[in-house]
This record gives sequence, structure tokens and C-alpha cells, in this order.
Amino acid sequence: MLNRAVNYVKAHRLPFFIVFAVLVLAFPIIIPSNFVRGIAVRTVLYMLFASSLNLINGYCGHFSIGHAGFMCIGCYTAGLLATKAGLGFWLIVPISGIVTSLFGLLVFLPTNRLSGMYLSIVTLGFAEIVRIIVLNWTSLTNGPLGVKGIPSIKLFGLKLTSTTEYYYVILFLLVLSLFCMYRILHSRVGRAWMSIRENPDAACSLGVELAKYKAINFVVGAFFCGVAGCFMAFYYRYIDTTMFTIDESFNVLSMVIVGGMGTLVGPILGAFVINLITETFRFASEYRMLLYGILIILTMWIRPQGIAGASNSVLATKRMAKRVQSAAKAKRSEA
Amino acid sequence: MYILESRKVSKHFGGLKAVDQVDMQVEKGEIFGIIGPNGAGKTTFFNLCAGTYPVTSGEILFNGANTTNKPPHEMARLGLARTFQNIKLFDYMTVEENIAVGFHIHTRTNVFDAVLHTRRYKNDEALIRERTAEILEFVGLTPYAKVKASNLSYGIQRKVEIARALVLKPSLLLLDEPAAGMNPSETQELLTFVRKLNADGYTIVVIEHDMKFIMNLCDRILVLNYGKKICEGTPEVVKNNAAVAEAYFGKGLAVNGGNADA
Ligand SMILES: Nc1ncnc2c1ncn2[C@@H]1O[C@H](COP(=O)(O)OP(=O)(O)OP(=O)(O)O)[C@@H](O)[C@H]1O
Ligand SMILES: [Mg+2]
Repeated sequence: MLNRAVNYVKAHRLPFFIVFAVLVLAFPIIIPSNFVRGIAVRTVLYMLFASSLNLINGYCGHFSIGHAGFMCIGCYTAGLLATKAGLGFWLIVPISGIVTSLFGLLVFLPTNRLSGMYLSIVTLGFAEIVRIIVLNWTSLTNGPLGVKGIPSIKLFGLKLTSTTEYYYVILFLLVLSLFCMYRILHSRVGRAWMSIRENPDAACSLGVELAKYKAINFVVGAFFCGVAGCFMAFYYRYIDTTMFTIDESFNVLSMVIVGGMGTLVGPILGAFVINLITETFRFASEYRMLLYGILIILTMWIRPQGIAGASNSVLATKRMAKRVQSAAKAKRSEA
Repeated sequence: MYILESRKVSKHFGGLKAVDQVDMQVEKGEIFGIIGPNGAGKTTFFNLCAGTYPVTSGEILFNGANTTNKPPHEMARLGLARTFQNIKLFDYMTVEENIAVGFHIHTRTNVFDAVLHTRRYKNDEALIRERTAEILEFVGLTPYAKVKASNLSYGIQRKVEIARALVLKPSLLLLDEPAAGMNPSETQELLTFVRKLNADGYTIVVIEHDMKFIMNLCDRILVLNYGKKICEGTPEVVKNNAAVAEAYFGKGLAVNGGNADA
């Protein structure tokens, strides 16, 4: 069922895309409720976070489970630069990206010999360390009180104040980021990443420098996370470390898993679905985590590669291989 | 000067001497065979030459330079290409994309070039498109360009792997059991193909169990058994060597004349 629906959409890309684009652009105008517009801004923001995580988890064989660490660094870099140095949003966007990507390199370098589960655990530890340092470095970060009074985004000297305006800003950042990601993935660099994901030995035998390209992968993924983190700071105007707990890492990770790794659409869909659930089931508070759990298990069961994931994502491969085998067996027994 | 030379190369896995003091000289332009019973250490020896494993002792020289323990990606840049015994393709990438990865060392596009579509990116992509088409034509894989590697038959996958290695423009090509799993006509085709590559100037080292294939193809052959070199020479010499016959068929046959060709 789900497979067929996905294939149908794949076969009729253009019309779906046009309808979709119009809906997305007109959304804050059509919807009268400011509350719903706020949800839309958060959803698009998470689409960017999820896309940046997907770059790391979907293409190069990494499996980071500590994305909140990068989110925290991006967000705090922006918050501090805005309040302490008085820099404007558009200048901070790239700075925040670059600072976060440097931290990406910092996590990766000492661990470049680790792989698989080990690297995953390092990312988790890294996220917690970042959060604890930020929480306790009171002189710089204001500790548990958080960073307050982040000014609003200015565009051509005008202050942006309405949710609708912020919606268009984050939409712009998302589209720009996806555009860059698309171009990177369809180049020598993206192919090197995918070759490492598919078969590191073969990649190496063709001259692909494994450590270097894995590091670049982390750096680029962290960069886009920093960009999103910058917007997050300016949108919420107030940030503290409770926003970057392990729960948050798993929140973004579940978007990537449910939507599907290794394609650009996957995390977009995943962020949409997960945010929809988060908002709809707000009354259930913590019990929503249960729902995520069930959703992830269901995804792995029905469509291991996620709603729109490449069939070769880390999680999907084993199940897919089993399926192919049993299908082949079935065919043989028919003949 | 030899194109590939090993001097008393050993590799131990714990107590197991997988490769033991092996000397080998491969001359430029020849087709050099490596044979030996299962577990003789042939693949391990290949991996030492290609830098996949560090050696326990000994030296490897490639084109006269000492390349002992250089990592595989550096060996690739120096002009050594290889295929694997258990085919290693990028399964979920198309044949075209598999080949494109082979251009890694001949192109220089970085992240910024890719985002901005600079001249370097455009030149690189143009080069890849053009040469991929050529290579696919050369090995007769053009119809499969857009097919995912995992959907191809075994014989075709082998070809893709060789094609991908050729993209490096290597001076030396290491083939690990290229005929494994092929039927006789495919094997025959492969033989012609390898000869053609050799005529085009590639030096080739090949591991193979198919005796007819090896004897027909190679200028010289090295025989390994339990990690040790037991014989080296032309197919004629190897065929008539008592130690080789013994390694393959046991003592009994060796005493009765020892013609390993039987
Ligand atoms: N990574 C490894 N760790 C431990 N032992 C190994 C490793 N690789 C190979 N060996 C052992 O080294 C010996 C030589 O193996 P190798 O694969 O080189 O043999 P081979 O000559 O290629 O055999 P075949 O003809 O079956 O391919 C075998 O006993 C094998 O079990
Ligand atoms: Mg072998």
C-alpha cells in the first residue's frame, strides 16, 4: 500500500511538486491562526535540523545519535553573538554554521578510527558534554538562566516581527540549504561519501581518502545544523540548555528514521509527520514518546527504509537483504 | 627495475603465518599469475601489495619506490588498481556511478566547487561523463549504465569491477579470481579481455584457481602453499614441478611423475 503510494508520487513528480510548492508558500496567508503558523515555523525549522542530520547519517555510514550537541552549539553561538557582540542575523547565520562545523571536526578527529556503534556513542557523549559545559559556564552562557533578549531578525533595516515573516525566513534557509546539499551530493564529494557508505574497502582501493571524506561529511552536516540553530535562537528569542537534552537528539533522529535516510525528501516528510504528532498529541505530554517508539517500530516493520528513504540506509539494509532473499526463494519454489 | 617487487614479505595473523617470506618480481608488461590451494595466502599477499594490511616483515616496492605499508588510497594514486575476490561494488549505485567514483583521483572538485558549480566542477563532470561513456563502450557495458550494481548478474558485476579499476589509469592491475563463478564461455571471454588489456599496456597480476585459464594466460606463475613460495616460473616449469603437484594432489601422484596438468 504505502510502497505503491510512494511509487505513484515518484512517477508524477512535477504536478505534485507544483501543488506542494503553492501550498507551502501560501500557507501562512491561508491559515488565519497565529498558533498554527507558529507550529509551521517550528516544523520547517525541524525539517532543516533533520536534513542536516540526514546528511551525516544517510550518506557516509555514520550514525550520529547526538545531534542536539550541534544544535546547542549553533543556537548558543548565535544567541551569544547577537546579545554580546550585537551582530545581526544574516551575518551570524554563516558564522554559526562555521563554528558548529568546527565542532563537527572536533568530534570526528579523535574518533576517526571508530566506526559504527562506537562513533554513535561518542556523538551521544559529545552532546551531553556540550550541554553540561554550556550549563555550567555561567560567566559566558548565563548557565541555567539561559540567554535572554535575543533581538529580532532585521531585513533591509526592517525588524521582522510577525510569525508569517519568520516562516518565510526559515523556508528560505531550508530551500537554500537543500539546494546546496543537492549540489554537494551530486558531485565528486557526494559520490565519495556514498562509496564509503556502500563499501569502504572498495572506496579506499579507488583512492578515496576515508578519514578525510568522513570528516568532511561531519563538518558539512554540522554546518547546516548550525544554520538552523541560528534561526532557532532568533525565533525563540530565549534559549537555555533544557532545549538540548538527549530527548531532543532522539526527536530529530526519529524524524530522520521515520522519513527515511539517504534521500533529501525523507527528513522533510519525517519532520512533518513527527511534528504533526507532537502537536496533535500535546495533551498526552510524555506519553507521546511512547507513540514515537511505536511509530519507529512500525516504520522498521512496514517500510524499513522510511517513508521515502533510500533502500540502502544503514537501518534498512539488513531487512532489505532478508526480503530480497526470501523473494528469490519464493520465485525459485514457484518455478 | 620491476614494476612490483616483494622482498621477504610476511604476514602473521596471531600464530598463523598466512604469508611467509615471499619474494616476487613482476616485470613491466607481463601477465603474472599467482596460484595455490585454498588458504595458501594468495589474497592476503595481494592485500599486502595493495596496502590493505600492514606487513609483519619485509618490503614492498612499486615502480622502484618503497611502498611498504602505504594505505590503499595512496597506492591507488601511485597507479595500482585491484579487484576483490568477493566482488566489492557499490551495490545501490548505478554502474555509471560506480565508474564515476573511479575518477576520484583524477578530479579535484571540493564542497565549494560543488555548491557554486565552478569551472572546476564543470570540467570534472564533463571529463567523467565523456570518459565513463568511453570506458563502458570499451568493456561492452553501455546498456547497463543506468542499472543498479546489485541487480546485475555475477559475470557482469565482475566486468564492472574491472572497468572501475581501469578508470584509475593504473600501471598495474591486480585481479583476484576474476573467473570465479563464470561459465566456460564467460571465462573464455574474460581471457580474451585480459589479453587485450595486456596488449594495451597494462601489467597484470592475476590470482586464479582455473588452471587452464592461468596456464593459457600467464607469462610467469608464482605458486604459494601454506604462505610459502614453492615454485616460480613459466607455465611449463610450474606444470612439471614436483612440489606443485604435491601441493595440489598430495604425495602419491607426485611420485608417479607429477604432471599437474592432468
Ligand atoms: N584477516 C584475517 N585474520 C585472520 N586470518 C586470516 C585473515 N585473512 C586471512 N586469514 C587466514 O590466512 C590464510 C590465507 O588466507 P587467504 O585468503 O590469503 O588465502 P587464499 O590463498 O586467498 O585462499 P582462497 O583460494 O580460498 O581465496 C587462511 O588460513 C585464512 O584463514
Ligand atoms: Mg583468496
